[in-house]
Amino acid sequence: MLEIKNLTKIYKGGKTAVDNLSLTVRAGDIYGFIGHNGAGKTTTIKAVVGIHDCDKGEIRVDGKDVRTQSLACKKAMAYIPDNPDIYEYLTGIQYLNFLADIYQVPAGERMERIRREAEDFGIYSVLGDLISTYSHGMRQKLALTGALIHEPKLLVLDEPFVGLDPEASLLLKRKMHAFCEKGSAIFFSTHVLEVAEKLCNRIAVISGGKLIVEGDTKELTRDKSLEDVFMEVTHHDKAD
Amino acid sequence: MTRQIRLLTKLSLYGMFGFNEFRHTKDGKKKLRYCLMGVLWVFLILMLAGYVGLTSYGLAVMGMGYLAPAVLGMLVSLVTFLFTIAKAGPVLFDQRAYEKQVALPVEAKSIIVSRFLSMYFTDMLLGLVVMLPGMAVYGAVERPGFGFYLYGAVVIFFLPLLPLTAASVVGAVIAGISGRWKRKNLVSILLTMSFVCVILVGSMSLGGLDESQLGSMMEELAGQLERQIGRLYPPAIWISRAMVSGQVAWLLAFLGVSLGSFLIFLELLGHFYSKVCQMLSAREARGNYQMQQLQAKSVMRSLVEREWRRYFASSVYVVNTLTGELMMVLLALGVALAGRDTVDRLLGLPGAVDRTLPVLLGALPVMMPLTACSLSMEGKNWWMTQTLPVARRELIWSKVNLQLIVALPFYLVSEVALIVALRPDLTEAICLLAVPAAYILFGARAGIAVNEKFPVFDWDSEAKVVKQGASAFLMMVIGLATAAVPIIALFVLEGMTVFVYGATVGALLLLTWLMDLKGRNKLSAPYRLD
Repeated sequence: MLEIKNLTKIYKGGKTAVDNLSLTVRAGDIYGFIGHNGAGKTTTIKAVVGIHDCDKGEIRVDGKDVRTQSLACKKAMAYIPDNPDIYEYLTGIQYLNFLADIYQVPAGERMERIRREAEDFGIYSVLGDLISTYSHGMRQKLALTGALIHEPKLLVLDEPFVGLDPEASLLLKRKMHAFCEKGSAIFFSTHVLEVAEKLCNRIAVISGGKLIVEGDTKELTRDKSLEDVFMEVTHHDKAD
Repeated sequence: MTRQIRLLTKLSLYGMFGFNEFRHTKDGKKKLRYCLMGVLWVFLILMLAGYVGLTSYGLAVMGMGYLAPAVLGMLVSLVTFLFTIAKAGPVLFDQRAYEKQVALPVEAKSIIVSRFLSMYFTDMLLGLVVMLPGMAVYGAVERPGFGFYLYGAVVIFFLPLLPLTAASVVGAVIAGISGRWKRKNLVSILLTMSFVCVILVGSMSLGGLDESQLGSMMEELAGQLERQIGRLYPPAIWISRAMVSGQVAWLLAFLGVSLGSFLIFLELLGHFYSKVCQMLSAREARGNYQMQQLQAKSVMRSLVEREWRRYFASSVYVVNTLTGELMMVLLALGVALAGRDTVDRLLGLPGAVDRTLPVLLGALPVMMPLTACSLSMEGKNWWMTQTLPVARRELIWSKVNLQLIVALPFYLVSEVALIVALRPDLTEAICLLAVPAAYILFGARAGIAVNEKFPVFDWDSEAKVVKQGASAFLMMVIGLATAAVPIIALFVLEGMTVFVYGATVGALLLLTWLMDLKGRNKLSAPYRLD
C-alpha cells in the first residue's frame, strides 16, 4: 500500500532530516513509526502525503508514484497532522461536506458515513457549530471523521492519540483495527510505545533520519517490551 | 509596567517587516526575496522623498514655505489615520495574541500600549520619510534657525500619535459594538466600510483648491490653503507655527493634545479591554445539530464556497481588499452624479476623468485585490490545501473566481451608473465596460501570482498579512504601473483613445494568460510552493 525506497530529504541549510530510508506498508498493516523528537518522523510523513518534496528516493502509494501521480495518490489516502488546524470559519458539517465534495463522495453515501462516524466519535450534535468553538480533542475527532469520509486505502496519522480522551483513544484503536481488517492500511507516528506495541503489527524505529529497526512487532519484542527495544536500539545507534 | 511594555513591544516588533526571519533564515531564496523587497522599498522611499522635497520647494518658491510643515504634517496624519482605521481594531483586540499574553503576569494596559506601539513605529517611519526631506528642502531654501530643526525633530516623533489614537478609538468602538452581535465579523465589516466611505467622501469634498483662484494673489491662495488645512486638521497648523515662527506654545499645544488624547484613550480602554476581548472571542455553540439533505457539488463550486466563507470570516481582510472596489463605485457615482469636471477638480487632476475614466475605474480594484493575500490567509490550514486531491489550477482559479464574484456587484453598479449618466456611444460604452473588466481579471490573477512568490503562512495576526504583507504592497505597485502606462499613452497619443483602450485590454488579457502559461506543467498537479 505504501512503499518508500531510499528516501532522502535535506532541508535548506544542509540538515539531513531523512537519510536513505526504505520501508513497506502492506494492505492490512497497522504500521507504527517511532522515534525521538526531531528524528525525522514528521518529515517522512510529510513527504508521503506530498507536503514536502524529497531530494532522493521514491514513494509509491497503492502502486502510484507520489511525484508523477500525486492527485491519484492523494485520492487514495487521508492524512491528519499532529495538530489538526482545520478551517475554523466553517461549521463541522460544512467541513465534512467540503471534503466529501473534494473526494467526490456521492450525496447519499456521505450522509450515511458522516452520521455513522460523527456519532461514533460523539461529535454529531455539534456538527452545526463553528469549528472555532471546538476543543482540541473535538477538532481531532472531526479531522478523523473527515479522514474516513472517502474510505481511503491508506491512512497517514501523525501522533493521532494526542489530545484524545481515554474513551476516544479506545474508539480510535478499534476503528483502526476495523479499518485495516477491510484491507486498508495505517501508517502512523507515535511517542506512546505501549500503544504502538499493542496496536501495531509492524513497527519501524527512526533515529537521526535513519531507519534503524523495522519489522514485525512480535518478532522485534519477543521477550522484551517495545520500550526496552526502543531504548536499546536508539542508544546503540547514538553510541555508533 | 515599562519593562512589560518594552518586552511585549519587542516581541511584536520581531515579526515586523520580516527582519527577524531575514536575520535567522538559512534559506537563500528567502533572503534574496527580502533583499529585492528592500530594494523596492528604498526605491519607493526615494520617490516619495523626491515628491515631498518638490512639494516643499514649490511652496517655498511661491512664498508659502511657512505652510510646508503644515501640508506635510497633514499628509502624514491623514495617511496614518486612513491606513490604520481598518487595522487598529484587529491589532488592539487580536484574539490569538490576547490568549497568549493574558496568561502572563502583565497588565492589560501594557498589552494595549505594546500593540499601540507596534503600529506607532510603522507610522513613525512614514513620518520620517515625509518630514525629513521636506524639512531639508525648506531648510536649504529658507535658512531657518536652530529652533526649526529642534521643534521639527520633536514633531516627527509625535506626529503619528494623534491620528493613531483617533483611528484606535474608531477601531475600539467598532470592536465594542460588533462584539455584542452574533455575526461579529459582518457587523465589523459593515461599520468599518461605512466609516471608510464617509472618510473618503469627506476628504474628497474638502480636498482640492478652487482652480479659479489660482491666478489670483499668492497671499489669497496661501490664506485659502491655510484655512483648508485648519478646517481639516488644526494640529497641522500648530506644527507649522511652532516650527516656522518658533512659538513654543503651539508646540506644547500639539504635544498636549496628542499625548492627552492618547492617555485618555489608554485610561478608558484599560477599563473595558478584557471585556471587549472576551466578547469578541465568545462564540455561540448550540450543540443541537440535525442532519438535513447534503448537497453534492462540483470541486470548483465547493472550493469557491470555502473561499467565500474564509473571506467573510475576517473583517480586516474584507475591509482592506474591498476598498479598491468601493473607490471604483465612489468614482463612478461621483462622475455620474456630479459630472466629470467636478470630480476632476475634487481629485485635483484636470482632464484625467474625461480622458482616462475606464483605466481609473479598473486600476482601483487592481491595487488591492483579495487574491494578493489569499494564499497567505490559509495560514495554519495550509497543510490541508497541500494534501487535498485538488489540482493547482483549480485552487488558483477558485481564488480568482471569488475575486470576480466579489467585484461583480461593484463593477455592475459603476457601469450602470456611468452608462445611464454619460450616455456614451457604442464604442465608448464597450471601452467603458471592457477596460475595467480586463483590469479586474488581471488583478485577480496577478494577485495570486505575486502571493505565490511572497507567501507568509506562519502568522499570528491577520492584519499582519493583509496590511504589511509584501504581496499586498507589491500589488499596489503593479496596480499603479499598469494604470500609469495607458494613462501616459492616452495623454501622449491624442485622438487614438480607442486604440489605447484596445491595446490595454489586449495586454492585460495576454498577461493573465501568460501567468497561467508559465506554470502550466504544474497546473494539473496538487499545490506545492517551490
